[in-house]
Amino acid sequence: MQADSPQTITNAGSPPADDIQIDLTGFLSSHFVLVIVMTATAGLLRYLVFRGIDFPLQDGAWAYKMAEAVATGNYRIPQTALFDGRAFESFFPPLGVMLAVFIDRQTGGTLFDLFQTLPGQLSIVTVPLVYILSLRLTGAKWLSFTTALVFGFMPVTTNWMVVGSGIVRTPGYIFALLAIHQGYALLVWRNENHLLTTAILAAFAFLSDPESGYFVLYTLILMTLVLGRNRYSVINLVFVLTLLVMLGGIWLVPAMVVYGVEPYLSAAATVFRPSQILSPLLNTATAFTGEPFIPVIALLGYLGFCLLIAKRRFFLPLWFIIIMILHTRSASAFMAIPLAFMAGAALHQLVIPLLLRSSQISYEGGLPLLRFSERAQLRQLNQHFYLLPVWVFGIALAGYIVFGAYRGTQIVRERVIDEVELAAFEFITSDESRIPDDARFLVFTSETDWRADTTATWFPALTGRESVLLVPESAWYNDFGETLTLYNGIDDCTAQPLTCLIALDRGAATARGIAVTPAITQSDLVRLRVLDDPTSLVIVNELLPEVFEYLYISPGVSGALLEYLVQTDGEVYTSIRAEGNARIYQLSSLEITEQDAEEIEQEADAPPPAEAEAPPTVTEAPSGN
Amino acid sequence: MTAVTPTKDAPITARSRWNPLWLLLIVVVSVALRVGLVLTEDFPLGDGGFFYQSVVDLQANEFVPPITSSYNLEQLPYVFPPAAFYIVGGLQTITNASLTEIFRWYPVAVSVVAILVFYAFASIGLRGQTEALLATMIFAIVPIGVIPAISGGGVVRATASVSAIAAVHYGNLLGINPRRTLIVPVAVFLALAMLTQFQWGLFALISVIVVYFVRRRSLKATTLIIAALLLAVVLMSSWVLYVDRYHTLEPLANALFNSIDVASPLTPFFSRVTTFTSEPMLGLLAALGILGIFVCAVTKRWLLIVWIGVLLVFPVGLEPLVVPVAFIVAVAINYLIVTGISSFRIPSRIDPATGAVVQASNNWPVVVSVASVILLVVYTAVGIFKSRDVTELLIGLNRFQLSAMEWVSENTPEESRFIVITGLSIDEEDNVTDWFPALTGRSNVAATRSVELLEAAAFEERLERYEELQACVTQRAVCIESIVPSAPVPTYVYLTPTVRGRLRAALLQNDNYDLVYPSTRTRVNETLIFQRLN
Repeated sequence: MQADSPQTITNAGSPPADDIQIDLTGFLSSHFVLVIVMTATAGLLRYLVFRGIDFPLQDGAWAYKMAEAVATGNYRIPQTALFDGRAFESFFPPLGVMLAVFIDRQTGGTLFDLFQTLPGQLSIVTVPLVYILSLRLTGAKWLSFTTALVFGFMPVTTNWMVVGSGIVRTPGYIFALLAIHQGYALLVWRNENHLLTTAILAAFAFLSDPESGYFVLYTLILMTLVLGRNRYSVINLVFVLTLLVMLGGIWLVPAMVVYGVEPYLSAAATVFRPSQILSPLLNTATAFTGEPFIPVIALLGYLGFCLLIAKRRFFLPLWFIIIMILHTRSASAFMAIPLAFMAGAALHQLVIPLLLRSSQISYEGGLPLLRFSERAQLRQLNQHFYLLPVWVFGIALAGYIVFGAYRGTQIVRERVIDEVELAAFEFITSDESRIPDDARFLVFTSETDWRADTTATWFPALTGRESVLLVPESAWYNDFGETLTLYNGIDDCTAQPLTCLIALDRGAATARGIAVTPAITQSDLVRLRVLDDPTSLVIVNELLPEVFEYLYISPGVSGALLEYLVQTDGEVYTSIRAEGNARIYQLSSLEITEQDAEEIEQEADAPPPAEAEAPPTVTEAPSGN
Repeated sequence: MTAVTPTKDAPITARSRWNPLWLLLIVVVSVALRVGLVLTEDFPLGDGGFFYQSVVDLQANEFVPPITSSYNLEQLPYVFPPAAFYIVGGLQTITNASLTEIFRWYPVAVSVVAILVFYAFASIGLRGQTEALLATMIFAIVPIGVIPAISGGGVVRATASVSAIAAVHYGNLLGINPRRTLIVPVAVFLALAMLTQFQWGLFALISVIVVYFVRRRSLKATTLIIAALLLAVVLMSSWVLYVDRYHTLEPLANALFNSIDVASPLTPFFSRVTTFTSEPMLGLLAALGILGIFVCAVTKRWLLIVWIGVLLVFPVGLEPLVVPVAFIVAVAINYLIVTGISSFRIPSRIDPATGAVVQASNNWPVVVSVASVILLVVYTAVGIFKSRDVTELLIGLNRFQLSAMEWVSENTPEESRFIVITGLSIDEEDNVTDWFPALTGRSNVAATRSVELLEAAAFEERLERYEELQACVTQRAVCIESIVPSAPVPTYVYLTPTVRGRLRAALLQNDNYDLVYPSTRTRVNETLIFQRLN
């Protein structure tokens, strides 16, 4: 083994005259071509997500009903839209929805089709926009190219934008990127020609998706504090904010007059939740970058984070931290921007230069291609494989990231309403005498993340019935936290439904008028767990036959129906292997037996383990050994 | 664009007099982490029941290996490599300490010794003290290294890891400086690793050979390495001959083949959970490992690449991989963070007020690089605690579970059989199933430990039965009955508190099942034991 050997030092900042310079050759020197290729590849990745689907991905139900109302009213913003079995107020800013309706009319398709494809198509635009933004912030083409590449293949951004609600999110994101691009020129370059465009684009971002507007707001403030720090920038920032308020106020003031201030304060409060500040970093379910394998992008981001701090360039690290702190509701989607910048910096200013160091090549950016004469020089220097490791590294890393992006984004394709569920929805709406219009539903699904709960999101839009648990919409009614608690808690109810429902009711009786136990009457309906886990449905029904009455099972799954009947007969056991199916139960009564009540009390009163009786002593091998 | 201008040496290396203090700091942090985890429970963390019973059997037979193991009353041959059982059994006999306490603390102590042995290896096997210290720190905190070592089963795994690393270390020394005196430590530690656990033994054997072939190939060294390997074979032969005499080598071969992980060598690259490091949050160390491979390539450190490549191809499992992975991650950290980031020079600037040139301090990048490494360490350590929340690793049996097992050992016939249902899959840490036979002296029809000694078909059948029985948590009693038919022995169903599905209520309502424990009304956090009446 070897001891430390002195390292060859190459001062690339001022390379010696005889040092070998890297330059680009041929058409590859054209960034335009490369950016086009990169955008096309990122576009292909997104296309592979929404290709062939016949239903909007994941969510967007409310926006869809809103768009229908806007289209019907010929661009007039309706005061309410029929959504949750009732007239739902049009709290949300209308620009994204109106753009969708406009595009729909220009293309001649249907709104429903548009919700499937438009978010994904629009999201492609964000990739070159990040390139342009990076060019403005850094002035370095190759660094910008790498930054956009990382951004384009980070699954979290794709997954956030290609879904149904991307119809409002993606325009907001695009306007936000443009506004920051303009804001940098205004606040850092002090070019006041960009004042109006900054304000207008920021207002557009806000009017498309308030979260994007909020993102622009604190980003511009941070930019002024870190990069501007002069009276000129501060004054311009004040002007921008004033204009932003005026432009946003065109919609916001009338809306507040109609609906009051409270819904907007309530919604704003959901964006920042102190308990979630570190959740992107501490999440054990997924990487905040969305990478499904080893998170190379996250690591590059971390290296870039440290690198920029070491270089006393604090804006990007601070931007990243500020988003994580102030924007907890959608932190990952917005953190992706500074993360991509930092990852690009790490690659260009740390990783690749260091990898090239052993070849005594100073790196000035760009693809490490050499001219013929330079190759000859290197050959003389006995550096035959001077660039091989870098190329291997680059290709392998790029392949790994691209494949990870593909796998990480394909998961969204599973989040669609399928035929089985549509049939169940149709059953609900087909016969009013069977299920009354004012019936309320408690929708159980196997999804634990409310953002990805496709069934819960689309149920009210497609059935016209009220769902008692709508997490996103609860944000406007000042009960987001309580509804979220109820939603998370209800996931445990598949095992012990009765006690669970009652316990939930105790904890969340006030959530949006949801009072599960006392409020559920014989006319109410409880729809239990759709898809994935048919066994739990049988459990519920068999354990509580006096409470739930079987009402519906999806057609085409007669095997499951047969099993159900056999099981309720109580004589023969059949292993359930049926495909996912939807079942609907009617609550016929809610009588709590003495035993149930005792168990509930015990559960509520059970002391934590530390306060229970003294532990038995088990030290040595028991008798019999 | 500014490129890297590395200094001649890394800052930490330059202050070599601080190295002992850095090592001491690493050891202190490691001890605190391990002790902190063990103190969270009153019982050995995780698994260890089978090993516990093996030690008890050995002691009961006055340290002569018994013919069969009493674990789960299956009378399976006592062929598991016994070195750790002798050490722990001897320790218990000498100190008269509680065996469960030894199972709590012995793994901690040995895993700390493993850190020191690893440092000795790394300080020679890597280029310089900075890398050696970094590798030692990674080895000390990475979840894949910590979690298996300090659980109850760590009595075997930690012992095996120390022996294996020591064997590779001395093998490496022998390659560098071929001396006959090194034959004995190489052979002894190699044999000890083999006689403690197959995985680590195989790792040691492969590593000694790979390190030798890649590094030095003198005739003398070759002769000495072969001599060391032959001596190791001789040392192991007594146990092999003993096993062959009483059982033939078939159970050993079964255990070897049944424990082989046939997953693709690329699996750790394309999984979020089963990575090289088992980090539960962001796998930053694993990602550094990927970059480290390329750093090794450009710096022509082929040994590390070949070493980890060979280990991925051979079925040694992920745990022993922690040694080369720690090396590669350390190389990456040293190259990219310690050297790379700290070598940046802040350019001088001109003060606009005075016109004077202001020289920026160059200590700042060094401070940042050190802070970056510390942040990585803290983040990884936090990940170990998060592992407990996510995967239920490092959880010990609680007082309720121990109370239930004590009741079983005192109140049920010895010939009775139990159906232990926890609802956990075969890949999860089912410490109840593992410890139940050892603490109760009763048979669990769903036991999965020690059954790798069975033929492949029987082994697979046992694993399937386990999975099927655990799947019964959402079914009714007939599910159990279809898997475990009635027999002329008392039969009990043992439900842990983790079983919250339908089965719990179904058995309570079923007249064929008599709730025998607890005698009072059902408690939510309580284990339930039913006796099957017919």
